[in-house]
Amino acid sequence: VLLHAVPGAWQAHAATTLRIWYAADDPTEAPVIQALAHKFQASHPGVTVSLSTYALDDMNAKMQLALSAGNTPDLIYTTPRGPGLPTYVRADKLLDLSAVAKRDNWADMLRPGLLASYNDLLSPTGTANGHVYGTPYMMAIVGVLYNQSIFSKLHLSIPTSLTGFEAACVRAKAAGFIPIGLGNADGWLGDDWYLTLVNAIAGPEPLVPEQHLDPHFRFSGPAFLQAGTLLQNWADAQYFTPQFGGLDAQDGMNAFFQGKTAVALISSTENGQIVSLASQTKIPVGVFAFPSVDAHKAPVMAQAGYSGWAVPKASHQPALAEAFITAMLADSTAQALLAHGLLPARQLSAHDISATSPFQHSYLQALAMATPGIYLDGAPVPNLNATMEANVQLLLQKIEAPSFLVRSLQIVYASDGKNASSTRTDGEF
Amino acid sequence: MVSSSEIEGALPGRRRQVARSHLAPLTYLLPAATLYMLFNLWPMVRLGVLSLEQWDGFTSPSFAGLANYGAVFSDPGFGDELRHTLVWLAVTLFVPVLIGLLLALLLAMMPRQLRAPVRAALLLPMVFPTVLIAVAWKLFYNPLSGPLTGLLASLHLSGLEQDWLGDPNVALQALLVPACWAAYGLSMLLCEAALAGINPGLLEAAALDGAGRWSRFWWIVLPSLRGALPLATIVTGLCAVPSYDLILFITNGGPGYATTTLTFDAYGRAFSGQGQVGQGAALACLQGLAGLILAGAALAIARGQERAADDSESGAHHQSPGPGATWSAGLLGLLAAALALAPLAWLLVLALQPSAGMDIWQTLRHNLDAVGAEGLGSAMWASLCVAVAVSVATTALATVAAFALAISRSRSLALTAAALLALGLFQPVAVSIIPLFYLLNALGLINTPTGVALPQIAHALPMAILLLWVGMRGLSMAVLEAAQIDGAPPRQVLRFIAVPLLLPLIVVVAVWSFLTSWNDYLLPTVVLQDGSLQTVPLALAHFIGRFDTEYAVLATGALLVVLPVLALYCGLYGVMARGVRGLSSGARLGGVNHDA
Repeated sequence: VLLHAVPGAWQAHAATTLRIWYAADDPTEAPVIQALAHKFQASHPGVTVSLSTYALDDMNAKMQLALSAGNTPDLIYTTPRGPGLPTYVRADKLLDLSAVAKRDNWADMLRPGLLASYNDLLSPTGTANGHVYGTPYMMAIVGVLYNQSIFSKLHLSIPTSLTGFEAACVRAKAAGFIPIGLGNADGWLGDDWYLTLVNAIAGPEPLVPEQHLDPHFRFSGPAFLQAGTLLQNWADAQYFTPQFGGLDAQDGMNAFFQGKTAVALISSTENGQIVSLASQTKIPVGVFAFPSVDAHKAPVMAQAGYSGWAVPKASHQPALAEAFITAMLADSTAQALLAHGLLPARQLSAHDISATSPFQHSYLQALAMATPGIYLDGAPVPNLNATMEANVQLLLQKIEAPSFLVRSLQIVYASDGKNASSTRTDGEF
Repeated sequence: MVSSSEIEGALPGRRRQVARSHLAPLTYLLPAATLYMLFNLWPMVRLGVLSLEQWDGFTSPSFAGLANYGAVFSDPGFGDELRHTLVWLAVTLFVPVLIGLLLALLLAMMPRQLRAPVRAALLLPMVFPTVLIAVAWKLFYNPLSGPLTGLLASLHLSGLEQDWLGDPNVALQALLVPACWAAYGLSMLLCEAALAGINPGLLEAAALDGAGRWSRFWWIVLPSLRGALPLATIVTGLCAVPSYDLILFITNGGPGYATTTLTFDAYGRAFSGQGQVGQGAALACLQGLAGLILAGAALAIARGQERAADDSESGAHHQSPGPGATWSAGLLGLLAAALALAPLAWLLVLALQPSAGMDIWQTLRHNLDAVGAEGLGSAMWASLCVAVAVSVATTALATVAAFALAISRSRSLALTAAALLALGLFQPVAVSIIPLFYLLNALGLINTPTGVALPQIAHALPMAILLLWVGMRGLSMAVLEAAQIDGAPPRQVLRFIAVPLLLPLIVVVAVWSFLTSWNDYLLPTVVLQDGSLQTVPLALAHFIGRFDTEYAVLATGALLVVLPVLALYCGLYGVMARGVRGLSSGARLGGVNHDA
């Protein structure tokens, strides 16, 4: 009797229910996607959309069990990194969406080349042979957030070279500001810093083979060491937020919006939070792409279609799931995402861009001027992301040397993630 | 004189009686044993099989022999993980008991009028879900906005300030503090109950004979805790087996790998797309084995102590052990209560901190709207239904099973039951959730409250049976036997004698099983698949994001969530205290009390 009284228990699903699992990294993102789901439901009479949101790690665990047991939702959120889309494609658990992608013209709705590059990561050989298993709908682009007041007060301009960036940090430090906002307890921001620096030093081109699992690629070039050494030098010079190791990314962002920090590396997936904080604190902020080593080269913004969709083979409503994906790539969805500070994967018109907030506008302008950087840890290698996050944490704490980080990444890459634990130092280095 | 024919004539009846006396316990054990074996032991057996297989989590597994164990042992990270696990087990096994003992002594020494509020404050950490404990401590440690930094500075102890969760050299120690903080409550209750059983006359006589405080503690108080301390150690240790949720929400195994334990790595290998489910299962089995060995050692020590000890005077005297309650003890108790409440108080401060452009009431209303929008209200109702069902079922099944074990004269049955219960107590739930999921899927129980409740009952049964079994041994077996000789069937003995006598302890078990269900995070996460069907910890987790955590809303939700639990706890505290006292007096692990 008690268990029958549980809300939602034993409820009969409508004849046509689209069950969706979604991972919201940011609590402000969940209402946006729920609103989009309601809108889809309203435009499809007789259809009920049941969208459940989870933390990404929880959803990954649920997904593995659900996919292997054949008890899945109809549509799932995915990321192009393990244990998301690449893992599911390797296990042959997803529908091939090539036909519907062609029919609904997904490639043209998205930023140029994005659908292909998203799916290029899906097979061990690095080519999906034209097949589409998933599609992005929201971008993750790494940029540099800066406090315009501090820049103006210190007469700083947007740096155009790595040397210029370091010079700005020296000026900010000398003036009593925290040069770089960082909260690295959860590891991903240090990871983003490392891959951004590698992109800035080496340029994105030499890194492309890593995304395609080229066996000849090595994490051994000077850029990988230099990026690690730079991060350690900056930590030594106390450029980062004090005690950044115990602060999570949100703390770092809150510290930035106390007005004492000059710049902070951000992912566009945090934009909802930034828009909200900027509005509350009235601190004027802008975004620039991280400068290249060479002032003559374009700056870089590591980017990937981060949040995306895929349809499990066990889906009961594949056609409806495909229709939902197409709706998520529509112009109206892009507008809704932009309105909440998020960056859609859709190709935006000039009108879309001009209608955004100054902060968004600044982001999109920086993006237009930048070279697309490579999300090194997004390569479909199990453990690569976790290894980079953990070892950069230790590197920033001066517990391991840059050479150890580089060696760890190479071990994981070369063993397809199987020898990940041999990359551990745990303070004994 | 009875003739041989009369004896022979009586034999069939006697045989039937003997057979009945053996069958009755088995019949009583059957419901609990069935549920326990299906949802607890079977997944563990499957976990053992998984540890011998190569499996990526998706495709068909293949037999790998001991390769997974070989891979785990030769893993360079294994030594560190084992060290972290052993440190965790050792600290969480003994430190909460020590804290519990000290706090119980403090409570006994403080003025009577202060005891109830201080005790209530000290027990509060016990009732919070792990997800909230994690958030509260993460905020407490926060070097920028947390109160610890300011607290140390105000005490002129800034030199002690650390990057608590960011420095790999101190992160594990920092993580152990909330683990112990959440676990000392039960030990305190057990020790307090045992202290109340000390004859104050004995202490007064010792004082008159010139024994000082320390001598009285060493020679009178400590021996009186002989039953309670081992039990508290085992119970606390069981509750504190490396908590996956706590590590996940506070440090996620980092910085680097500084807080990665065997369980945490096992879960990572099994679920993070590494394709190493077999290795995860092997690690989980090793973790379970480590727990079993520790429990065995603790039990052996406890039994050794009992054999060596003289029978001491028993009986609850409900008096304080020390002559003369003191206000200095009262002050110390208040300080301890303040320390215990500090992380929770910080949550309260956050919940009531006015947002920009709002006063406190507008903020509160905004936060309440936000928690309502995430379905916290329906989640609370769902959790309440499931937790009450789990509590009622666990208590009923465990009471019957414990009674069966208590009246059984079969040593082999007792030994088998003890071994099986011990296995269940140390089940590495985080990884055995894989075979459990397949079982529930096969039974059509995925995405149903029953699919959550049945495994929760099965997981709660070992501890519940153990506690009630210990409690039953505290009853006079002569009373039970006399009732049976008088012709009362076991059912009536259970109903009219055992249950009324053990009611307070049964309430303890009911409340404990309610709390374990109410606070469970992992099982509902995996079993429930629709957002409309969620429990409290799942609803609260919606406010915790990778990029942004809505602390004020989360704190408001936490306050709402803890209210019904607090009401339950306060309402039943008196009965529970009596139950724990009974448990404490019956906590002799070496045999049955046959005193008349």
